[in-house]
Amino acid sequence: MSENSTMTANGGHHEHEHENHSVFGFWLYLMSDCVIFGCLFASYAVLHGQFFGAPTFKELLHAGDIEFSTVAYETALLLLSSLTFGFAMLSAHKGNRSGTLLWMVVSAVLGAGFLGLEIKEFMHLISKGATPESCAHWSAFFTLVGTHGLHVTIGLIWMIVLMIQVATKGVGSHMMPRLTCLSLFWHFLDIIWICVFSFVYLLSML
Amino acid sequence: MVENHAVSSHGEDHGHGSIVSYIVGFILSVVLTLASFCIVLLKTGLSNGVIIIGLGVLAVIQIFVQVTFFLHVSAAPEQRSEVVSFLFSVFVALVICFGTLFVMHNVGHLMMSR
Repeated sequence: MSENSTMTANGGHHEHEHENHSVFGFWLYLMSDCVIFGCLFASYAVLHGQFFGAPTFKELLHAGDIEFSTVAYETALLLLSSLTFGFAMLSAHKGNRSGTLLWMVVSAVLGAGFLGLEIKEFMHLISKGATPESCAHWSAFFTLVGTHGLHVTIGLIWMIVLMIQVATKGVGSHMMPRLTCLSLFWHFLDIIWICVFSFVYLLSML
Repeated sequence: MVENHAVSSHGEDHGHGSIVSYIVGFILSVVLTLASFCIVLLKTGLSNGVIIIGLGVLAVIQIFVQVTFFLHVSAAPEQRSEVVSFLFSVFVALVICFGTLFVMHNVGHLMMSR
């Protein structure tokens, strides 16, 4: 809170600089996150196809346990959620508190829908014997897709916290760096998901 | 800085995007996603190698689209550090992925495991 008071005391110019610094710092965190996902994709690329007696991706696909439609719905929900969070940011830049809140609620609901579908899919895979401890392929699969899901969960919690702050404090200049950081995080997760559906799901279906 | 303030004073700072840029980015992403699903789902008769390259190209284009239209990273001079750090981390991630594949592929050959 002392940050806020110094910011207002220093005036608009410093405030803008402060905002740029914290947003750039968060950007650098995202870049290191990008490298983490690079490592997880590398281990998945090496270990995929090593089933060691566990049900294979194709067997589950032919038995109808993995469905195209689930991946398509997940992709659609996350992409729509990215768009609606963009609208929340536009409302916030216009100083429109209720618009920001409305679009944030829509984004959070879409994000929760994504997470629900993913958890349902994971539970189903585990019930069919494709558990993380069954073989190298499913270990790498659950680590990669699960880490993305964990990021979405954290993003959702963060979004709920910011919704409470927007509702109580409005969308003044002190809220903008926080909302900007979350928007970067949320769009970044959608970008990681592009790689997940392309290289994990679609490639395994060939 | 001065330019930035002048633009943001009438509401549409280029660093924040506009409703048009979000919708254009969204439509392009939907088209590219559908293309990725279609080349795998429709029996196009393409060989697996071609499909893998196709998926890679479509994913790279979509990442570029989302970075431009959703993250608003552009070649503007005030965003140079964002662009440089982004390119560097993508480079590191690619080195990790392809380096790992290359090494493990050779290990597989030398150990005759497959």
